[in-house]
Amino acid sequence: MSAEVLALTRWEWFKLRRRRLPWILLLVNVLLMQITFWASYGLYRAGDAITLGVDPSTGIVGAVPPEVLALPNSAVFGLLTSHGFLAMLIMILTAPVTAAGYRSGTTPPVRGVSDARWLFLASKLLLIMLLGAGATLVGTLSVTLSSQIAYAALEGGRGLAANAAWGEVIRTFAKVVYGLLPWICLAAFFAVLTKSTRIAIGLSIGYAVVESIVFESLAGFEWAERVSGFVMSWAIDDWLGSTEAQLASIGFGDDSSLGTAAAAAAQADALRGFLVSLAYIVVLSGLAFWLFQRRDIAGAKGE
Amino acid sequence: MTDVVIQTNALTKRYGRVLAVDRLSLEVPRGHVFGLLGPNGAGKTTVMGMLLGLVRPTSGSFSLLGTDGTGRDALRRIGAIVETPAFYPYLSGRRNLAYFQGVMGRNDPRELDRLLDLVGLAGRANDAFKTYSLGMKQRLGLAYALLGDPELLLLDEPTNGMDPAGMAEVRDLIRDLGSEGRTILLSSHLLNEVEQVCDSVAIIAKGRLVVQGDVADLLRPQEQVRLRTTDDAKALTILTAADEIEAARAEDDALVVTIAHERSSELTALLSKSEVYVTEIAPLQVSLEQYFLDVTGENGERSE
Repeated sequence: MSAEVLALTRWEWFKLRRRRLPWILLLVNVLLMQITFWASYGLYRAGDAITLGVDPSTGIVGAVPPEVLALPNSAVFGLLTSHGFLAMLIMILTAPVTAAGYRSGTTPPVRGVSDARWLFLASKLLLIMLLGAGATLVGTLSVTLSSQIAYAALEGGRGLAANAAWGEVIRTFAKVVYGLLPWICLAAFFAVLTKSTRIAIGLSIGYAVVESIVFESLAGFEWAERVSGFVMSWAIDDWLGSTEAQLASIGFGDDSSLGTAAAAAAQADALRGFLVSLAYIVVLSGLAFWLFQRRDIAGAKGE
Repeated sequence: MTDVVIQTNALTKRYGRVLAVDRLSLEVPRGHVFGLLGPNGAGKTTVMGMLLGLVRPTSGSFSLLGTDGTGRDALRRIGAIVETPAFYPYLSGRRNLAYFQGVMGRNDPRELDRLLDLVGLAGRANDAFKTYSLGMKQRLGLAYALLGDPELLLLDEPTNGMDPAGMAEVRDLIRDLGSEGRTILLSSHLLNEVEQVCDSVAIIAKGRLVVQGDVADLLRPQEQVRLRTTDDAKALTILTAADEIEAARAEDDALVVTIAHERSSELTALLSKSEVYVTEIAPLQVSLEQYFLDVTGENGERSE
């Protein structure tokens, strides 16, 4: 079965790589990450000049936090900043890739190699996951490259040690890729449910936006605080670690507030975030597979 | 080797309140080009969908190529076009076929060349599918259905959208494929197409089987001749009494006699024995179309 899924995944890639959409989304991802990096860099420098003053040892006005620009900190920074964009972009890619499976013409040959349609959907989701991982890598490399340019431009930054290890890069990469899975499953579920690319994209992104807005606006209520840990986007944030804490840990900002107790709480949140995300992955993909396997295909239109 | 390639037993599909296919029991013999004929909405495409596992039957069962029809063994031996062929618009015709061939676990560029040539698309094989006319899409659909040299072909309106020359070519191709011993289930709303191409036919209306049999057998009872004689009244009496004449009636200023055309000489001989002479005789063949309209009740019931 796994060999069949891999073979189908290869052929999914055969056709998907000839579409413009994945390449456009990759370009958008890189652009957004670059904008974020340079905007953060610029804002930080401006803020640093105002609030942090001048580092007398270096004599550089508006010194940037050099730890962030040093490898492998810059890679961790790139990974953490990539997730938000990628979640949206990956949903835009998942919907058409999944909905296209509902075309009458595409399914008979797949039925020809297998009596289980789920292999077909599995190959699509596997490909999307691999592409998500690839896009994360490409985006991170681009940010790392930019950070190296910024690092080289700072005379005083040279020789400063990074406080993250390369192992942290691998761990963060795995966490970011895992954090994409609930969004992939959400978009796949909507695509299978509605059999329409456009509606699936609208519902997926709409869900993500509405969820954020609703729980942000209810943040003052205690019950909302309790529930928020089980909401998809918040659970994924918990899993990745709060942006502030993560960035502080690699030197971007003030990490003095992060005591041992806070670190332990963040770890507990991360575990809960992992489990809640897993529940979303299992339920949404389970529903998508069940529907994909059972529902009639004739007459449906994917794009 | 089984003699029946497709067998459906009380196959039923219901969409909510709509009964698309109603206890359909069909038998498609091996090596036949079998026509599935019915007015729009009769359930032809739904039947094809169920046979291919795209549509789940509400009840009933079917067998394909001697299996229960749900396993990969049978489906691997089937080629199909269902509805308008839906290929990937951004891929060329050749790459679309290569994709489907690859999904089937094979990689044979020569087969692609041969099939593209067979359906007359060799010159446009590298153009994007989205630039194809409907007729070209149908041709590509046919090439796709032939991938892997399947022993059973399910073709849903394969000439839809083609120009007359293209339709003739595809009909010739289907006949050739049928003559190679392949079994073909062809649904078409073009009655003359079924008449020209198919050995057997099942006519369905409102999801129900109306009649099934060999095209020649279905049409044979309908073969008639129209004749005028020197004494029509006497001729009608003679013909009505004759055992070898199935039916005879007066119609307008002539007689209409149900008899195979090749037996017309027997008719004239019979009458001449009684000194009634035929002054005019012409074949009056009821077309499959007329037959179809009669048996489906579509004739005169269009207002429903």
